[in-house]
Amino acid sequence: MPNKNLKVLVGVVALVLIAGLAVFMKPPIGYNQGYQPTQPIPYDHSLHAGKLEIPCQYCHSNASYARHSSVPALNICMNCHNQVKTQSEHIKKLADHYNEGKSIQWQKVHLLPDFVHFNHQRHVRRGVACQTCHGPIETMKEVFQYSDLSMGWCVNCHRKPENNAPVSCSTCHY
Amino acid sequence: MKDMQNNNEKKYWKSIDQLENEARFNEMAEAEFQTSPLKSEDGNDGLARRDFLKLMGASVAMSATACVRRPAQKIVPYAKRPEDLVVGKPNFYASVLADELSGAGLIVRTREGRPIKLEPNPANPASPKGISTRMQAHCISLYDPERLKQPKRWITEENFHDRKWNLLTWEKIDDEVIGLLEKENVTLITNNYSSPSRKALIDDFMAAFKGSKSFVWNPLVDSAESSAQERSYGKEVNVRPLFEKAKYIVSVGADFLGEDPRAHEYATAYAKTRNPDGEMSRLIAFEGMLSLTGMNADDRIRVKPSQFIDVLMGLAHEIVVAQGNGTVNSTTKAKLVEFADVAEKLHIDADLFSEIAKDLWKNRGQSLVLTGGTYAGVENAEDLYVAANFLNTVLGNDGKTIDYAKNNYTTINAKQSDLEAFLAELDAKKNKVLIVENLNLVYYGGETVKKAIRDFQDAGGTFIYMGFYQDETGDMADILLPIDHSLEAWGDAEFHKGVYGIQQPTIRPLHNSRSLEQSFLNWAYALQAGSKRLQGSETYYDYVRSYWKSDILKNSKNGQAFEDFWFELLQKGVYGELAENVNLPVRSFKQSALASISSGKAEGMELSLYTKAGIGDGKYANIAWLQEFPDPVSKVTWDNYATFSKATADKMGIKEGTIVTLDVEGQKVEVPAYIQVGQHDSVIGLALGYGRTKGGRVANGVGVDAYPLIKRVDGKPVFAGRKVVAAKTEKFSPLANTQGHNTMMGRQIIVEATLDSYKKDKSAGIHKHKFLESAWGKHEYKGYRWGMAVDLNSCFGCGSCVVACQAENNIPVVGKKYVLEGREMHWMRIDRYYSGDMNNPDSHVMPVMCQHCENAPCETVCPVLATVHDDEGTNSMVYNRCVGTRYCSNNCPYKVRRFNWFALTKGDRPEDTPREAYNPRVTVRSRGVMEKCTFCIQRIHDVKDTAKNENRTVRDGEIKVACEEGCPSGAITFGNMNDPESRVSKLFESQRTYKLLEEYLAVPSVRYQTKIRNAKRENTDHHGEGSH
Repeated sequence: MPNKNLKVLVGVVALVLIAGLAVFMKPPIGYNQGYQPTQPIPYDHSLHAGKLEIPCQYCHSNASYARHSSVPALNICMNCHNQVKTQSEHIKKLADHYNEGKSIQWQKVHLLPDFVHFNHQRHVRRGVACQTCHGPIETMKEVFQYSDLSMGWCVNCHRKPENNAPVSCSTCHY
Repeated sequence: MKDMQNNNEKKYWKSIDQLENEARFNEMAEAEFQTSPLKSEDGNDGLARRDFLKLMGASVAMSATACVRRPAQKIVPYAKRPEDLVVGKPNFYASVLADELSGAGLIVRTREGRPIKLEPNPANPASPKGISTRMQAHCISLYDPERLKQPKRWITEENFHDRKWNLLTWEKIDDEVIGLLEKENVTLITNNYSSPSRKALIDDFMAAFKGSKSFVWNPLVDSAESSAQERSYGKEVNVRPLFEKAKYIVSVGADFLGEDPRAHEYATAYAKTRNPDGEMSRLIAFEGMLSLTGMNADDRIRVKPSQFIDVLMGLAHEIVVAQGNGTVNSTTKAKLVEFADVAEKLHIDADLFSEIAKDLWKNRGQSLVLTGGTYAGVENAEDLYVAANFLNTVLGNDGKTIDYAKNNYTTINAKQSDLEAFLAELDAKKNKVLIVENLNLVYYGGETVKKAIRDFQDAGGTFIYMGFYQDETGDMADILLPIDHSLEAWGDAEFHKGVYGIQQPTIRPLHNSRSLEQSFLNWAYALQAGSKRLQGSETYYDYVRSYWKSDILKNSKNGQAFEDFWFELLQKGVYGELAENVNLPVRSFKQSALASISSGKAEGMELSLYTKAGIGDGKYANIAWLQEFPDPVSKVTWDNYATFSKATADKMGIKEGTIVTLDVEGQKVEVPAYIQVGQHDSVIGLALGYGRTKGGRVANGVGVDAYPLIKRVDGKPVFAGRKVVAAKTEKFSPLANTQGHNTMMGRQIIVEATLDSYKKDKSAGIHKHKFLESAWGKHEYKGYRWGMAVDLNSCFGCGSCVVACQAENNIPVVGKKYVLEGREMHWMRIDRYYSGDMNNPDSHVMPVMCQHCENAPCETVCPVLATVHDDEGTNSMVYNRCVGTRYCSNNCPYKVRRFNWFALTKGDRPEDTPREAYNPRVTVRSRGVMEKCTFCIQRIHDVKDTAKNENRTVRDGEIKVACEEGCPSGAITFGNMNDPESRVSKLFESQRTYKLLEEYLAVPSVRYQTKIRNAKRENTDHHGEGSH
């Protein structure tokens, strides 16, 4: 009998310890706010979108036509870069990839939770600024995830009466 | 009337088990989920204590590691994005599927360059509305991992055991073949095709090698039709029945709604005549087995295949001699008198028989007498056709409901007798090169063909097989060449005389394959042989273009420049028009053609070999979708089986799954039995297309091969009417039948009324309940409210919607083992009920999918709010909330929710859908979540997007859900119930509309329209008329 009680006690203590540890460390469950991976080419948004004021949709041209804003294909980079800064080692790498027809494997920054369908087109056409979700992207030398992209964060906006946005589950989950 | 119809209260029943109320059925009906996942492993129900602790430990460990970031993902954009491609949006291309014996215009839906689904081409006047099951399967066969990928050469070394396949390049292969062609002539045999360019190219190529011979053969091509045309009218022709003009149809063994290669086209046309508010046609079916046509017939009469001839001649006797209509000479009259007492001889209701004859005459010029196909593939099949031709001539249908010259079929080049001619040619050993293309000759032809090819090879011949798989035939080849999929290659098709379609590729060849056409062009060019066009075309694309320019456009008065024409053609996909109104003179019938016809000698049990709507001739047997597609008649998956009538089975002591031995004139097969009500007592049916040995990992070992049971008389195959002796064995093999469960336990489900009672009361047959008030408040729908109308009167139960839904919604295949456990995943099913006398019952079919109830019972029981109502009336399923309690499924009165017991989408089983074939727009579900029909919500979203961009509301009919799109007969209509002008709203107002299990007050958004049968007998369902 005492033996069994001891086992239960040890089990309970262990569970409490794990729970306590979890609360103490406050792990950001599944969200990646602040995530800033290193990219294969150090593309600088603060230069292109900030200093040079190239409109976002010059490169992310899909954003108002489709669900994905899509990372631009290399031919869009090369529109300028077959003239501009051709001697830079990064641009040389870019040009090599383009000429060989190889893609650049960018690190994905914004990770939406699974089973969510987000539609860029609807938001862009509604006049939602890119910065609303992506933050001050025109100042970012290296892009990081600005918002936590959690459902609570989405719904906070959708619920505002002035936005007149749908809040059905099936708007995003299907 | 029918065999028996004395009970006023007609009992609907779903399976024989249910009718007999066997214990097994009740057990199955009670249990929605038939087994626990752990039951088979540890023998106990539920989780053992130790397992529970293990799982607990694992989940604690998981929760401790959950804060780690998910694995980094990559974004890989195009290097050079194609101009017309927007990432995330589908592109559509007009193309053609030229199946062996039929063709249809298509729209191919592609995503990021991958074809993912086939859709019908509305611009095509000649093609059917929907997409058949096999066409949809054809699309994913593109991604079949077991496709032949490389050209191969069978190397025989000195030591016999060192024989092996050597992978070779096309250059090496070309060198060898060109070397052979320099010296030797070719014997070519291909499958039937409907491409005029290809025909021209093969003719060009064969002409370049004098002494070469080409053959076209297909195991199911019905050559009796054209030869009977010659015997009757003096000219070989393939006629086209015009169902849309026929008011009275008599089918003698012709399953034009199910088995026929053009069933989809015919269903589209036939559905047009089934409007109960207009002039509704009447369909009479004489048949031995129960077919889809018989299930949909207004009156169905059971006859053995060998006595079909008596039916046709008996009808002729009734019309001409007994009722004195039509003019024939005295010899013919004397011939017809031989068939004076057919009704008595065949035990058919004599009154009904003479009534049919009278009605046929009354509707002369607007009736249609049909025969043909495997069900009518008896030894004297040509006589059947001749007799049918005679009837159609006497009735003046020829040229009115039978089109023999305007837009008839011109592309059935295959001849059944070509197989014998081919074997004789091979035996003569004149030509040293044998090319077989896209034709699994060894599987279809069996040992005879195998031996002939072996002899040919032993005599030093080279056998080149151009095929899609390394199948039974490919395995024997010396040189094995992979051919392109039709979605990878250029081509064309002639649907009907004068109506053409263009096949444009939608993807580059995935493997190192090359079409027959391109190979022939290369070889001819290297040898400097053949016509100028053959020499001048570098690719088959060039050849097709020059053929269209010179041959198809030749007759056109269109002054358009060719490039403009071509551009328009690629957009539209089709060229040519169907004649508006076919009104040709009746051809004169050679009455001597009837002279050799004699009465059928029916004795003992008769074999009836047939093909199933899913598997067909067996070509697509490696596509798991088709294997798991429940047969429209029997609802059995993953097998073929010998079908017995209930009476015969009882007499022999056979139950469903009992293995029987069929002895057909010495040839024996062992096969499980299936009890098919409505079948003639002396007929045993068996489906072709199964029992593949080298068909691939999915196809191999499923069912038994019935091709060896085809007898060939003078090169003509005999599918039906052979004598068969069946013997019961003690062995048992369960059939994976989807019908014994998901039962609705005998409530008002399918409502049916006769045309007469419908004319008196538009809501005939519908039982109305007086409702209690619902306890639930009403939802408010400010914008759209989606609804679906299913017109049971236009639904023939073909099941195209089931596979269309599977393709659209990434529905996995579970395999036979789990179908047996009731775990199939199809989001929609076709329920099939029988009623009345079980010897010849009425059959009723009904598509059932999630009913998207207003007061959905599933929503109230979900503990985690994973299934909820949305503000447009759909019942949505949130996969990431679902924890798999299955309460919703338990509470669903329609049993339309499917649970993922396993991860069936990982791609580690042969049955798994290839990854590339998934629709990226739809979530791929994994283990542990519930799923069900979503009303194709992704399509709703996409169309709403377009509408919002254009600042308007969604137009009626703009959203087409997958099942609606796949349906050939327009039975399914989807739309906005909030718009009073929409088609659904109009249909819902119709008095024929009822809700399934209305008394539950679930208020479904899917509503059904009653089936109206143009039959004389009264037809009340058990629930009774009126209300309570």
